[in-house]
Amino acid sequence: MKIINLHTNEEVEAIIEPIQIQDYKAIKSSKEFEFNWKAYKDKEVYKLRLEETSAILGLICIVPYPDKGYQFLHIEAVEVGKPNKGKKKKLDKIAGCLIAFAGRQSFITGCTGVIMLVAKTEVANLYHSKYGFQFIGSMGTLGERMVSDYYNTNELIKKYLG
Amino acid sequence: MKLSKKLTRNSPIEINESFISPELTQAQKEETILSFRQYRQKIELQRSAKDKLIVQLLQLKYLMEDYLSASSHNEAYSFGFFLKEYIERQNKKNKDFANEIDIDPSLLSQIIHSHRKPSEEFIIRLELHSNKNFPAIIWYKLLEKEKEQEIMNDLEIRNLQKKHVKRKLEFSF
Repeated sequence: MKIINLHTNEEVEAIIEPIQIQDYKAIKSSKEFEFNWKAYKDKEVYKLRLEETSAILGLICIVPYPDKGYQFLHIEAVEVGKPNKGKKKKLDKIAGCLIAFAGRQSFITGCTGVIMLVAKTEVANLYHSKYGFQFIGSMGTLGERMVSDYYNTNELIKKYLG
Repeated sequence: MKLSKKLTRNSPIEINESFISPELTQAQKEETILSFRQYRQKIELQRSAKDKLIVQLLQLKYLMEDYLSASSHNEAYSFGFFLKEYIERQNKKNKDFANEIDIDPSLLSQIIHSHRKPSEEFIIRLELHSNKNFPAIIWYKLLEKEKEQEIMNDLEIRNLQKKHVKRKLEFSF
């Protein structure tokens, strides 16, 4: 998969792989991530890095529910490292690649391409406009429930991982 | 400060695409999963037979891609295994599928059971049959991965060929 270096406008090869136990220390010492990722150490957490370096650029925690009657994958958290957030970010498409990866895992694990998540209103609006997630119900101040069905998920995979 | 509070204070641009699920009580967690489940069931009812087939085939394709990119070899994941999956996921009988790609059913059976290697023509027919959703190269790479294992582990061929090598380098790197 490729992410974009916004300084040079060039595509850079990136990799998403399972997090290793020693990564938690690096995440904390880098001070580039705000979330407490150690709290997810018993769940499926993946990191995105450039092919040529070991520095972690983004993280995602997913929980597949493959049993019949469920068959959806829940994204519990996504975080892009500070240097690549906001107007001054250096690299683009990190979150897109992580979300598309979660979608691909949804197919692979028998969750039929369905992704669910709960996000605060501002982020939810962004996920709706940028990633095609649909609103399926509000949880009030806690956030919005959102879904990506297989067709939208496959579009994300084609766009970010293709 | 709790992370959720930190996040609420940020502007959408600063938040960017990062998010974390809210901290929920056990009851709220169960209610959320239940609501996801109910919505999931609603989606299931709306899916056509074609949608369900596409989902099945996408899963198969991604499994094939992951197997090919993995460094490990799994004997169960042969060319024949994935071909059988491709046919079965379409709810087709081997005989009908053989007819659709104009090959003898007994040849198809031999390929599925790894008693015979598929030809290039066969692989191209798979690509055409799948409307290029499963390109020939993905099938070819499966064969290549099998061949890699065979050539690395075939002691018999090494013993047979030994007698033909009359002279060899006298050192190892």
